[in-house]
Amino acid sequence: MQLKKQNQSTACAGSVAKTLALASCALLGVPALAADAPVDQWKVDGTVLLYSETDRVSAIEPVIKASRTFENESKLDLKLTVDSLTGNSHNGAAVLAAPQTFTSPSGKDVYQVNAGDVPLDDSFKDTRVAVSAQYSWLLNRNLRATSGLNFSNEYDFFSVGANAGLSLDLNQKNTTLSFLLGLESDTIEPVGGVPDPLTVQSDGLRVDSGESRTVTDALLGWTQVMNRRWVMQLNYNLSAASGYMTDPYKVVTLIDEVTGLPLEAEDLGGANIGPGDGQVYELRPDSRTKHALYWENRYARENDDVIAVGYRFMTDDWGISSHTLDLKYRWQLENGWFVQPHVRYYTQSEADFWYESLTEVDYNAIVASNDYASGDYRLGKLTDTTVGVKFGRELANGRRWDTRLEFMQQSGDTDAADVSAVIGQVGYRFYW
Amino acid sequence: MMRLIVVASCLLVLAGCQNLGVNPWERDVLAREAMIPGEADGLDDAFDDHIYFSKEGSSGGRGFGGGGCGCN
Repeated sequence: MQLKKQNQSTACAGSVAKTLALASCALLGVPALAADAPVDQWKVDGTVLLYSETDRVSAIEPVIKASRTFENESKLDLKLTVDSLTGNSHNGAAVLAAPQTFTSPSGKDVYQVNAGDVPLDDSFKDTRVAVSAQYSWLLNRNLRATSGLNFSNEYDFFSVGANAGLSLDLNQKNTTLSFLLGLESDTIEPVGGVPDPLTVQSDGLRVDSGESRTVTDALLGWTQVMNRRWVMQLNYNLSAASGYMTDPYKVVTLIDEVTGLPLEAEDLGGANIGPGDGQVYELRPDSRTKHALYWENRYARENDDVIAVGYRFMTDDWGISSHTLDLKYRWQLENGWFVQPHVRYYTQSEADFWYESLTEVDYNAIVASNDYASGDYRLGKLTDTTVGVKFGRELANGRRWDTRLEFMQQSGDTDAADVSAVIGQVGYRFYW
Repeated sequence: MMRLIVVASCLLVLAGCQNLGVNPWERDVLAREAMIPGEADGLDDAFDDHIYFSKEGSSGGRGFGGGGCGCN
């Protein structure tokens, strides 16, 4: 109980402006300052994420974030992320009752997948390094500005982004309205070059060495203190992407409409590299507009436990609509300990151009009408369930450690969508 | 006309909000980190957004961006 008393006294001492600045920064997607963050000290969060899918991708992702709040209530956030991935990635092809043959991403090697197995490319290996900086400052008593830059680099991908926004406090700072605009420019240089879309993979045709795309985001936010124990946040996010949206490493399988078995590349006028090599490179539209509505509620019970409920609806012009429900319950225990169970449920409809496989007739019709086709299970009908728990302890001088363990299960209309993963995480915070 | 309706609706909502909220001296519970959207779970939100962005057809809402990702 000692910690609860300590927390409450600290919170009461904090200024109203500071508290609402937290809400507005959080709303903007900007790392907000802790309620008890000492001024002119660095708050350092170091966390390592371990992600492992059964028989597929594994990742280790260390992140270090340093935040500093200055005397004038301006704030600087710096973040470094290193993301190392390895393992087997679904190549987009259908799971069929016959062997299938593919070329590696570079086009130089050939690999086969047995009948009944999910087609996986085992050459998946990448390291991502991302850095970001965000600065926010008060323009006047009720108006805060923020601006940031971020860079991300992988072997075949480079991204640079910038954002700027404002948040306005109203109604004795019980209401905060926010607006944030973001621009991102991505460069994609696939291993072996950019494949010629909808052509037979065994021919290895390339159209260029690299492609690019731009993404523009706008976010409108409303944070509302409902009462002494309840705060609500409602966001609307418009995202418009333009440019190369195709996954250069994914194919779509062509099948015989009678037997359901894979076609042969040589029967389609392509090079023969093995059985079931009737695979064509996928093609997605070169623009995408997404609308997302996000609603979060946090309610503190009399015993200091906190219930958090988040819901997101997203829809886009590719035909995907999704619902996400996120529930957390934070048990505040004695001596700074806390335990937080978490459940997440996600469901999406399929994109208009998603096909588990294509017959030759369908394929010819798509090519003739300049249409699109992808077999990527992530664009198909999908249901994900995640359950887990996080626990940790608040220590003296603002230090904290926490760890979480979660299990995710994906399923959809294709066996390729059956993915199970373990998410593990360890974090430590200190002030410097 | 449509613009007028939108503006009027926004003003109505904001006017309604004047009856919500607390006095400055009643913010003890709300100031707890666990009560601040986006801050309550530390880096978890960013990790989750990145994981699910790379495994699902949806993204955004809570925030956006985050340094891009090839995510094949």
